[in-house]
Formats: sequence, C-alpha cells, structure tokens
Amino acid sequence: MFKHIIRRLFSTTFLLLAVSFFTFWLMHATPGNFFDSMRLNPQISKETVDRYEKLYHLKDPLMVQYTHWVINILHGEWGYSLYYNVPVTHVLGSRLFNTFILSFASLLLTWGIAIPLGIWAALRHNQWVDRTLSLFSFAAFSTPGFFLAVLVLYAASRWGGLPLGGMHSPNYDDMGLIERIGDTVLHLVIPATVLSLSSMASLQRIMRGNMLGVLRQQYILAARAKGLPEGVVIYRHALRNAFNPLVTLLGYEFAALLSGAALIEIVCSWPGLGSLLLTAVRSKDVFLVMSSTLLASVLLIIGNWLADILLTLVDPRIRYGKEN
Amino acid sequence: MEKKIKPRGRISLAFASLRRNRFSMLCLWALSVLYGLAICADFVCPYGYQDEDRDFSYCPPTAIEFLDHGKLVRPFIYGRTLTFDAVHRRVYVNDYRQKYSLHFLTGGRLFGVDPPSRFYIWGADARGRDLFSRIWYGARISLSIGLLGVIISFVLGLLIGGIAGYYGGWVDNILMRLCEMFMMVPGFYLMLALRAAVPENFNSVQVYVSVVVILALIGWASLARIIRGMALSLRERDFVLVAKTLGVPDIIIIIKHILPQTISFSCATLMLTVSSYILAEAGLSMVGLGIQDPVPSWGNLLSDAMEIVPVIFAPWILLPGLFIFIAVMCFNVIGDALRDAFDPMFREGI
Amino acid sequence: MNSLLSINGLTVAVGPKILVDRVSFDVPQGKIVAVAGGSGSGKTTIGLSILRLLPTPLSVTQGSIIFEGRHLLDVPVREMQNCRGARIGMVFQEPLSAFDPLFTIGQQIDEVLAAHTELSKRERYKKVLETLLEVELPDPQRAYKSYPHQLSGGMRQRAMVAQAIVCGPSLIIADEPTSSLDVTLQVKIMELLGRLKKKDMSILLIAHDLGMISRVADEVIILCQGEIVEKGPVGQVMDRPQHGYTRELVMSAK
Repeated sequence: MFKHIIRRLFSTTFLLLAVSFFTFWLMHATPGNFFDSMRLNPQISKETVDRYEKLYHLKDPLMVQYTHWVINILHGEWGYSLYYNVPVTHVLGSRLFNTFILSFASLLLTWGIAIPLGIWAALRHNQWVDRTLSLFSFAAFSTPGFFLAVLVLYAASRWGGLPLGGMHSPNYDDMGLIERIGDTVLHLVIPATVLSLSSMASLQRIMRGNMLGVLRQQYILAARAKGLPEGVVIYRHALRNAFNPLVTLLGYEFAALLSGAALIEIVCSWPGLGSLLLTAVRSKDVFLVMSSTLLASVLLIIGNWLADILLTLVDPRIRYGKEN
Repeated sequence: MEKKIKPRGRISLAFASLRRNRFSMLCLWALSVLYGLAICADFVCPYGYQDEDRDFSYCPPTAIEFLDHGKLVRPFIYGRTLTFDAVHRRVYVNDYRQKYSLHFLTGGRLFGVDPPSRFYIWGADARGRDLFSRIWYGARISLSIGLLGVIISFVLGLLIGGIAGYYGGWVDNILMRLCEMFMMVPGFYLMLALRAAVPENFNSVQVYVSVVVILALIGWASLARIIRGMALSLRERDFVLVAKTLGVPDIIIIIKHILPQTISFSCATLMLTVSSYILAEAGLSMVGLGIQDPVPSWGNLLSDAMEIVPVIFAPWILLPGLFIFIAVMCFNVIGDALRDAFDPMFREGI
Repeated sequence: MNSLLSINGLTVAVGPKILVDRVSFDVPQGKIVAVAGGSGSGKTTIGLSILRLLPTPLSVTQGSIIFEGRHLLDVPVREMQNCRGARIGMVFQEPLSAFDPLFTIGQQIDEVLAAHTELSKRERYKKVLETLLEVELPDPQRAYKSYPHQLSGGMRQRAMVAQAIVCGPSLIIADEPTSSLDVTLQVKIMELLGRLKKKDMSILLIAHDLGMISRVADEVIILCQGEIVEKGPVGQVMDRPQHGYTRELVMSAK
C-alpha cells in the first residue's frame, strides 16, 4: 500500500508540472505582454517592476521563464497581482479559506441528506417515495446552480430572513467570536444549499442504485439465511457494501465542488477562489490566473488522494489483496 | 455475419425500450420544439435580437386584448406611456385611446404590430429589446454550442480512448496521463483559464468557435477514460482476433469493430454531456466570458438577472433560466433512459 | 418415526408459470437426502422455500412444509428468523459471493452465534474456532482473521460449512456445495458433509451430479422441470432407474 502511495505521488507531481506548464504557456500565448501593462501602470513603482522582471527572467526563452516560475512558486513567491496591486499570496490565502468553508459546508449537507434519502428510496423501491424522490432528483440535478441561486436570492429578498450574499454583515468587525461564527453560518445558508442541491440529487441516485445492487447480492441472501434480524442485514451488511464505492466519489465530489462553487460564489458574492479567478481573468491578471488554477488543481489532487487512501482503508480487498 | 448483426440488434432494442418510456418521449418532443423554434427564430420572433427601443426599457409583458367595448375584434394591444410613480419607479400605463392591431404573417414574420408601438410577449430588457425574440435567437447559440462541443469531445474521446485501450502498454499510459492532466483542473477553472488565453479582439463568430473548443476540451478526458476501459475489455474478444489474423490494419479494427460496440453506452453519455455543456456555456456567458452582447445566449441573457434590483422589478428576465432548465432536464432524462435501456451491456462493460 | 422435515404438495409459481409442482418428500433424522436435477428443475427453489427466502416475484401457492413439528409456511417471521441459522443451516454454491467481502470470516460466523445464542464474546470466539477446526481448516485463528478473498476456494467452502453448523442445527440445506470447486476438493467437501451425518444432522443436498450424490446420500429424489419423476434409496435408483430422465442422469454420472 505504501508503494502505491509513493507511485501516485510521483505521477501526480509530474502531472502538476505538466498542468502548470500548460497554464503558463497558455498565458504567454495571449497577445499583449502582461509586463507591458504593469510597466505602464503609474501605481506600481519602477523598483517593483524591475524586481519582478528579474525574478521571472522575462527576457529569456519560455522554458527558462517557466523553470524560474516553478522555482519561485516553491519558494513561496507566487507572483504579483496587477489588479489588486499586492503579491498574489496576500490574496490567495483568505480566498482559499473561504472556498474551503463553503465546500465543506456543502459536503456536509450533501452527504448528510443524500445518503439517508438514497437508502430510503432503495428500501421503498418503486413505491411513491422512491418515484417522487427520483423526480425531485432529476429536477434538482438539471437546475443550473447559478440560476437557482438567483431565484433563491430573489425569494430571500422578498421574504427576508437570510442575508443576500457576501460573507459578512457590515458590522462584522464589531461582533464577538460566537456572533461572528453565527453570522458566517447565516451567510453560508444560501450558497451552500444551492451548491449542494445538484450533487445531493446525483449522490442520492447513486446511493439508491448501489443499495439496490447490493440487496440483490448472494451474501445478503446468505445473511438472511443465517437468521440475522433484518436491521442487521440492511444496516450492517447492505449499507457498508453500498457505501464503500462512494468513497472514491468523495474525491471527485471535491473537484465538482470546486468547479460548481466558483459560479455560485460569483452570484452570491462569496469571496472565494472562484470569484477571485473570475476577476483575474476579466482583468487579464496573469499571475493571479495561473496561481488560482494551480491552486485549484492542487486541491483537486489532494482530494483524490484522500479518496484513494480512504478507499484503501475501507475496503479490505484493496488493503490486503490476495495473500494466500 | 452474426457479429455484424448483434450490435444493431442491441441498439434497436434499446431504442424500442426508450420509446416505451413515456416521460423520455415527452422530453424528446420538448427538445424538438425547442430546436424547431430556434431554427425558425427569424420567422417566429417579432423582432431581431438587436432591435432596441429605449423608450420601452423593462416594459412588462404586453396583454393581448380581444374585446373592444364588449365586442370581439381582431386582437390588439394598447399603447403605453412611461411614467414614474411616487418613488420614481418606472410604471407603464396603458393609453386606452391608442390601439394597435396584431398583424399576422407580415414582413416575413409570424406576427407583429405597427410602429411606434412594440409588442412584448415576455417583456423587455434594459434596452427595450424583446425578450421573447432574444430567447429564441439565443436558443440558436445555447442549443448548438452544446451539440458541437459534444461532437468534438466525442471524436477526441473515442479516438484517444479507443487507441489507448486497444494498444495498452506505454501508449495507454501516456494517453491516460494526458487525460488525467485535463481532469486534474476543476472544470470551471479550466474553462476560465482557457478563456483567458482567447484574444480580446475576437468577433462574435470567433468567440463562438472558441467557446465550442473550450467546452470540448473540458469534457473529452473523462469520455476517453470510459471508452478506454471498454476498449480494453473488448480487444480480447474473438472477433478482434479474427480481424487481426486476417491482416486488417489496427486503425480499421478500432474504428470498425471496437468503437461501434462502445457507441451504445456512449449515446447515453453523449446526452448527459450535452446537458453539462449547455450549463457550462450558460455559466460562462452569464459572467460575461462567453458569448458577448449583443449576440444573445441564454446564459448572457441571465447576466441582467444577477443583480437583485432588476429581478425584483422585472422578474421576466429570469425566463431564460427556465429554458436552460427545460433543455438540460430533457437531455438528462433521455440520457438516463438510454443508460437504463443499455443496462445489461453497461454492466458487462464496467 | 417422525421425519425431521416433511414437504407435502409444495407448489411454487411466479405468475402463471409453475416452477415447483406438487413436490412431496421427507427428510428423516440423521440422513442425507439429495434432490437432483438439471438446471431449471426447481431444486434451488425448494431449498429457498423451506427457509421462506424466495425472491419476491416467486411465491408458494400450495402445500406445506413441516419441520420439527412446526408448519414453517405459517409461523410468524420472527420465529422463522430464529429458525434460520440456528435450526436450519444453509451452505451456498459460491462461497466467495455468499460471504460479505467487507467482514472477516470470523466476524461473519460470530454473527450467527450472536443472533441466536446468549454466549459471551469470549465463548463465541472459542466456539467459532472449535467449529473451524471441526471443518478441518488448518489454521483456525488465521482463518478467523481473514477476509473471504484471502482464503482459497476450498477453505472458503469449509468456512461456509462451519458457518452453517456452528449453532448445531438439525438440518443443513446444501445447495450445490461443490460445483465451484475442483474435483479433489469436491470429494473432500462431500466427505466432510458425510461426517456431519454422524452428529445426527440431516442434510438436504441439492445437486446435479449423481456421481457425487451417490457417494454420500442415503436417498435421492429426481426432479425434472419442477416435478418429481423418481425417488428412492440411492443405490436402488442408480442401479435400476425407472424414468427416462433418471436414466440420462445416471448415464452422465458414470
């Protein structure tokens, strides 16, 4: 198992480099030199421009530039944001954290609701509960998240109750710690719910499908033949087997979350990585674009790793392989 | 001979079961209506998509009147004048002295009214452009972009996945690493990054093509992986060995023998991918990075709706979202039904 | 002498199609009765009917099943659950799919004891190890901690037998217990089953290979498309088959 992890480490590092190079090349394929606009900007001092020119070896061929960029990244130097007028690292940190909070809340909601619903639907196979849930799932799955966000915000504006976007209330700084947490949670409700909705729908269907598939298996019949109470059969044997394959989904879910969150962040004015990237792209802020994309990829990879490790821990067939 | 008949049998069996599913047939009809109206937009819509009239900014949907002083007459609309109420909000008041008849089949269009009046079935946007017209012209963009993107993704995915699965070994390794590279960046981020590389001075056609290419690039990788998995198991089958011993070149084997077997499952995935591409384009356009104004797409029509204030006072600007929902849902239902129809093969392959 | 298991006029159907047609036979105490037939003859269905574990579209439309004096088809579900695993044990054909892949062999056998007895954890552990030894598993402690996929086919099947006998049932239903094994293992498992007879356990052996059956069974019932075509002591049926179908089966066994 250990060897497996090391091998993955190698291949993903290599892939990360490839992705970063691809992004780098993409940025430089854009006509219009970023540093020209930087140089022309009166707000940025000449020293800063010179410093960055030196750091990034802009006069040198592409490969050299790229190598220096990578080295700089590893040293914690992620570039300079033209739009925000600060080094990129100053902006990334807090934005990353905000996206995390949103993704995490959404994950909790999704799995907390979809798994029980999926089990319920499987146990009431083809009865009205199952069919209604199916229909809802379809509708939820097909609703564009950003559209739903707009609708929910509209509803919230009419009927009050929830804040209309952003992450903090205006008087956030005056609040105590508990109040601050409560305030953030309140602001989280709309974006997290909208974000969860479509993944909730698909997860529920998958759980239901898995559960139905498992219930058809021989070992479920065998468990009943052993005289085990139905509760044990379902919640000990069927559930675990149905749930297991979903663990890898957790990793991909993370990727989908990052992606979906971006748009919802924008609509709900949630200050996260996605809205940062949007601003960066709109203003052709090269370093910010590359850094955000790189960071998003890193997060995804970590998510996938976690999923792999979790799966290994949870499925003895993978953990132990064939020994005898 | 037997082998050639089998795949066809499966496909027609699957489509037969699809036809039996009433809900998916309903969705198929709905989609045909959507596409039909999009194609006939020039005829069906009373106005061009750029036709603006600032005097009628955010004009609500126009009511069609059938009774004039209690008598049934040819349908008409009242003239409207713009006034401001006590809190300086715009209100359109009907002018009962002015009547404009609804004309049918004039000027190459299905219906319309005489100028200077304007007939807004579903209301107007900020610049007084007819939302109804813009939605159907927008349908052309939104519904076609998804399809084109999927076609390209598919060709890419089928070829690369087929080759990787068929040859295995280092070819497979390299191609799969390539796939992973694309799958490693979350979809929306990849879209934005690719979009950032598109020059700013592109005209609308070039932007359209760029968006198609971008969409294709975000989706081909997962497709290729699935195809590769199926190809890997298919290449051990007898008919492949027979073809090889007969000296058929590899690429022909892949295209003529292996890929057709994957088509069945691919169809279901195709439908589901179209729906995700439609969503992706809508999202991109809504934040201003996709199709640009004045060319309408359902996504950029929604960008007006991103501010709360316009939505509160002109809720009809949310309509494009409804159509996105309908189109996406229909594709999802059909794709899901297709997947269930091909279920036994789905199980075998995976 | 009262039979342990008495099946009378059992009919199982799915919709209009009849899978088991008025089947009647007895399983005496301490004897091995084999139900033989080709695939689709309904033999597995009979086994499942006894435990009332028929898949939903199938149902018993007629007949009675009397086990240890009780009408199994009429008792409440709770009582049936108490009977399964404790009074009637089942051995399945494919042990890899009949064991839950996510739990160890030991855990799964322990479950049966936990569900039917009041033994403490330690006592259960001892009992499971004893039973694993009884089925001739070379290293019971290792087998206890192993997951199903870690054991070989033969060991898995022995473990399944252990799972079936751990509570000391009076009847074992063995559904094609050796079909997934190779020939040498088949013989061993059959011998193991044969030894169970000495502990006064009856076995209802469901199989299609008369050769295997003739080694251990006392009586054989020949089933063809849901109907009994012949039954009797195994030696008699093998030497003097009356029915055409029986003759075919006997021929293929030789």
